[in-house]
Amino acid sequence: MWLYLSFEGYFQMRMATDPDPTDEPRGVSGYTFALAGEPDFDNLIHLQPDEEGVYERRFGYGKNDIGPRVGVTVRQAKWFDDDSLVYREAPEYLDARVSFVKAQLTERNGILIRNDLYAIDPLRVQVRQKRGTLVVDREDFLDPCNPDLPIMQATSEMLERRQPQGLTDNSIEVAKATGLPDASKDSCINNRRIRQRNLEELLKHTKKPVERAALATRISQLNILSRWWELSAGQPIDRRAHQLTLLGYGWSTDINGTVHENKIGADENTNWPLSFWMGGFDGDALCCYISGYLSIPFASKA
Amino acid sequence: MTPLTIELTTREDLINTLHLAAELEHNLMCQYLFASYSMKRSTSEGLSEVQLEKTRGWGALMTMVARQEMEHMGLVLNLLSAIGGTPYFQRPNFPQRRERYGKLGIKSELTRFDKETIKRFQGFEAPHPEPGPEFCATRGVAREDIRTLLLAPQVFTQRPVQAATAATGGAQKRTPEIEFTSVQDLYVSLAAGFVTVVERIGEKNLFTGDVKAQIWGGPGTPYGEGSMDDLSQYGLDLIQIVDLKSAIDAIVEIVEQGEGVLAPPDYIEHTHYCIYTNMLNDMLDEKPGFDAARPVVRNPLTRMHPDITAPREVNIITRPETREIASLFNLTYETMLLMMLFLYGSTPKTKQQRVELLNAIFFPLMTMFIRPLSEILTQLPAFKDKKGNAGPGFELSQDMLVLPQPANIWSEFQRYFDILAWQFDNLWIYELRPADDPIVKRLHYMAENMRRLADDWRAHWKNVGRGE
Repeated sequence: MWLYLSFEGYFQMRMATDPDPTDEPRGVSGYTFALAGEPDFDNLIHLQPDEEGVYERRFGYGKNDIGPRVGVTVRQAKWFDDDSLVYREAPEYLDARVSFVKAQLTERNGILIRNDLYAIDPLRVQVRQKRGTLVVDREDFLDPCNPDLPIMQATSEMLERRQPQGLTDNSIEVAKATGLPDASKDSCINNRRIRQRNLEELLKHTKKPVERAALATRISQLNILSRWWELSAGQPIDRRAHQLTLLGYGWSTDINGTVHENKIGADENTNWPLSFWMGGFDGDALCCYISGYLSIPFASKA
Repeated sequence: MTPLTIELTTREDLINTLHLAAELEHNLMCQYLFASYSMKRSTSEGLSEVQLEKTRGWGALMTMVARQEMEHMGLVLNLLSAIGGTPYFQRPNFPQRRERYGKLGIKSELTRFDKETIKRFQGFEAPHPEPGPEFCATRGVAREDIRTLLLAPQVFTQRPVQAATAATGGAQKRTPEIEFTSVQDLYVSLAAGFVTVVERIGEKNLFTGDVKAQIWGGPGTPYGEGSMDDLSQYGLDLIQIVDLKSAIDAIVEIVEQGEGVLAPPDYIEHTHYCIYTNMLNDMLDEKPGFDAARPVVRNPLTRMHPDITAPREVNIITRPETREIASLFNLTYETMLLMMLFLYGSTPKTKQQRVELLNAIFFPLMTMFIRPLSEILTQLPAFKDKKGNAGPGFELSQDMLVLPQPANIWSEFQRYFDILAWQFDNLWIYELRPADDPIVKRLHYMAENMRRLADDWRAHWKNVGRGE
């Protein structure tokens, strides 16, 4: 017997982007910033809006305050009987909240990981039912024989368990999930221009100097250059637009470590497969989309 | 176009002038980075939230300009390589008197971010003759006209025979003085020179260099994917130089980005000259008392160097724990240059070796060590007995940039990494400050990274996570 939980939604990721060093606290030379009035980056990924460290921005004035809202929830839940090969719905887990506790996407500008194939570490997954009850909580070890091994001492095989398989540009899957009309460059650029216009409108209604300073930076960052030195790159696109349909696919880890909570009688002696993709990073909102599955095994029918 | 100073008519003219260009780009880059790293980064340093936001915006622009100076240097190295020249990373230590660069009038010194410094940078990047205040608000040159203007017959104020010596002042001596009157004059002369030399000896006879020694990005780059396949995301474009057209493309890119005299209308505000002009105007509009930079002293060095021509302007760092970190910075910088010298050189290398060098230099050494060490130095006191903070001196020992035998080069780089890892682990400052001091924590983070880098170099990157 298995319980399959399909989850998705936006999470927040307040971290520096290259060429800033990865411990940069507020962002200078990349395209992500902790703005005036905001706390320093915490480098954590937050799947739930009430986690400490989440700082959600406004995206426009009034009805135009449209943008990513943090919250990763279970959208489909099914029991699967692997004897009879029968699925049945598990409505008690619909809208359950999924969290990755204190997780970071790590690469250290090529020292640990190259080409933006970020490893997730630590990896500890929690599922809470809609009313808040913690149902399951399990962590993964890079090396089950050495649970305290820091990621800086991990081998490539250990890192690969926590990395995506690859990246895809102009992903239709991402566009569909995040509501872009299509995955074209024009749609990405248009999305950034609409955001810029909405922020300009918000600025007109903003009086506080600190908020105005933060908005001015955001508006200026959304000035997507209309031309580059297209000598070598064909038809390049500003990464602040390009990221909107960039997909990191194929994170797949069999969660192998300590079970901290197990209210549903799941099998603790078997690994729990977790797989997901991340994509559509909105550098203005510091939010990214995630979609995935957690598969929880049971020794006998629950 | 303004009349040019020197007509370049031979391969030697071009190589000498490109050596000067490489030195200038290297020089400007260090000065821009120094000023940028001197900037305050927190409200705890006496800035309001709004002032901090303003400061960060200036810092972001300056680091972008510095990145483009690195790109210009990369393009110059590719131009050199394309015509059979050798890579050139030499430059004199800071500070240098204005006379060092003759009529170019470039004062080479490391100064913190302030109005005087930005005014000096604006002068480096100024079109020639310097335009009026309306320049950055007016329309630029239509894109299709740029190449025509650049390649139109030029008027020169000097005869060709003077060119070779005037470019660099001769192989060793610095007299007679450099005759180029501006950076723009130098690059436009180079473009005209490439045309002239091709007309004289033919394209095939000029472009005889080893194309594999060049570093370039874009689709199909042999240097790995991820970052090098689209450098536009960093505001850069590094192209391969194989003929006259690509040589001119590279020079057009440099003058578009820098002085802006040949920039198209929709790009003019992003040129270095206009960025510095607008920044200076912004600074002049700010209320008195807003100081965006740390109290960093001019030209903070670990020791005097014999090639310095303005010794009275040097500030020797006397605080021992700061000097130790400044020395560590210099060793990291030298290691990076040494690796670049090998990377750009024509010594045979496998594709894997080239990729390994790039993977060590471009992100890890530049972003995870050079910059953080610089930022730390500008937070530390320079002296035992007076006020003033230190900074990155970008010091070069006279005998550096000499590579060992090719057979030993990999182990030599390993030795550098091992020394750096040991030094990061054993800094004196760890004994003087508590473990939770932000500077100590940041140094420990770097120590951890350097150990990993050293181990991975030894293992030929077998430990690094999967890349595409």
